[in-house]
Amino acid sequence: MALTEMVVLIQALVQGIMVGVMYGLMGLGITMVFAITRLLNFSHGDFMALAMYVCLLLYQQLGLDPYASSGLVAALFVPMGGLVFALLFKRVLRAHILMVIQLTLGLVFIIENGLLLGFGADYRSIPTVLTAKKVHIGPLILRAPHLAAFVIGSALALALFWTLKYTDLGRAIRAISQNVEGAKVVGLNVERVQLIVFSGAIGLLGLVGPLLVPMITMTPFMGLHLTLFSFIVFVMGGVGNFLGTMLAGLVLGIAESLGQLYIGGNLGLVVPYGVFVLVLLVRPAGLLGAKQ
Amino acid sequence: MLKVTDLTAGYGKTNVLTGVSFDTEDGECVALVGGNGAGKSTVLRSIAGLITPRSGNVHFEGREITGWASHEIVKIGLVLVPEGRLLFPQMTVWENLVLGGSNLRAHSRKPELLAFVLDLFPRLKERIHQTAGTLSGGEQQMVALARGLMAAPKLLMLDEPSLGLAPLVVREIYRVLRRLSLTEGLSLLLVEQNVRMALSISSRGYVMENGKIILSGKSAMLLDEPAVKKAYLGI
Repeated sequence: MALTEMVVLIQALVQGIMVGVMYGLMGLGITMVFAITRLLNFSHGDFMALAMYVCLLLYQQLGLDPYASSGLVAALFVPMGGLVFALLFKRVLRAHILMVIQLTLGLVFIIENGLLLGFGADYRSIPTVLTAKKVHIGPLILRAPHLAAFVIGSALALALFWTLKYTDLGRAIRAISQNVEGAKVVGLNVERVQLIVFSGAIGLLGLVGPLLVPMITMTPFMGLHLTLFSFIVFVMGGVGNFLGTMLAGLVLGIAESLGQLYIGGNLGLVVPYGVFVLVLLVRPAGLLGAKQ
Repeated sequence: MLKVTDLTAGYGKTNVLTGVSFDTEDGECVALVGGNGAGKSTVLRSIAGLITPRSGNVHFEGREITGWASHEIVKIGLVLVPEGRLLFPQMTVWENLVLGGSNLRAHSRKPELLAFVLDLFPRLKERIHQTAGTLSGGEQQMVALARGLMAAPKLLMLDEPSLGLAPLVVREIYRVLRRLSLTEGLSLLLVEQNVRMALSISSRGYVMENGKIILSGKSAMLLDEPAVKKAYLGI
């Protein structure tokens, strides 16, 4: 392999990892909510779309750069997630799975059509300070938005895993995901932890969405696609496995990047899905899923 | 200390309990015995707030706690060591024990309690960093009991602590229960199918059948009762 080819490959790998961290975080939201409520949120991606359109609004009205507004959006999304949980999700905790699908798909329609109403059906993008910038590290040329997403995303992921492993809240989350009744017996307030985690997961989307703004062209209908992709990350990692989810995000990011590089076009876009199918063929319970 | 009056509870359309009443005194060890399906676990699950009673009420230290949430009940010192143990299998013994103290406001009490339970079960000290799911049945029961004690209970309710364990392990568990009851003065409510064992350490007992209490009295007396001997002791 010639040196330049080698550099191109490494560059693609690095880019895949950088995007993969974002995918991992998208999946992690689903994993965390599922682990402690056994609910699947089909409106997951739409909340992310909503976050990006809030960025658009802030840009239009106040001229705020998406990077500047990301913290604001996240701070806004945490209490909003809490409200959505307290008013809607709490009611379907013990309901039939179809009720849950109905509720969250209902939210999809509300968010998508709300965005359509407010912003129209046009494709949108928001300029950011980093959009066209590149960073040179040795022979590698990295796109600044990807690098920023990677740095912030990794810090976030590390903070999340640290919380899960070493704090009372983290232990409570793991306890509830492993045995709800046992968690009640030791005196954990399960509903309160569920509220915190749900708010946190929505807040996470409020932060991840803005970071993806420079990489994605926005449409009001992109939410369901993002949800689908998040579900793939969630399942591929091993249902309910936090570390597996992050790993799956990285694998999918790399697969996407290499697919673009070596195959390209529409066929290249299929590569991550192909990898997903392959992983499930070899490990039906997911990358780090427990064997049934 | 604990007073249960006319408790009715069940799952779905069926009532498992019909009008169960009993009480326990401070510092006392009371046994609730009976065969499989008599409703003993349902009694404990109702008291612990895992299921909501249909009617009747539960008082603890003079306060009515009927229908309280489980975490509120643990907070006032009424703690259940559940049947089947319900440990957190992928977490270490230490993590399980620390979670047992979730209700404690004062974090400073945890080290003291931890030292106490590890002194009760030296075996757990060796296993402290092992995940709970990898332990033997007896060790898991020890973790469940120790986890319950970490909540600093005033009354500890034990649901079938000897179920499925080897005789040697059962003896070990009961040695600890006896110590808790006699030396530490902890109040115990013991649910068992192992009638002889339960009545041997308790001062009073209640016998349940088909969701009702059919007999009660001093444990020594119940052991001599012909109906108990015939039905549960195989004599």
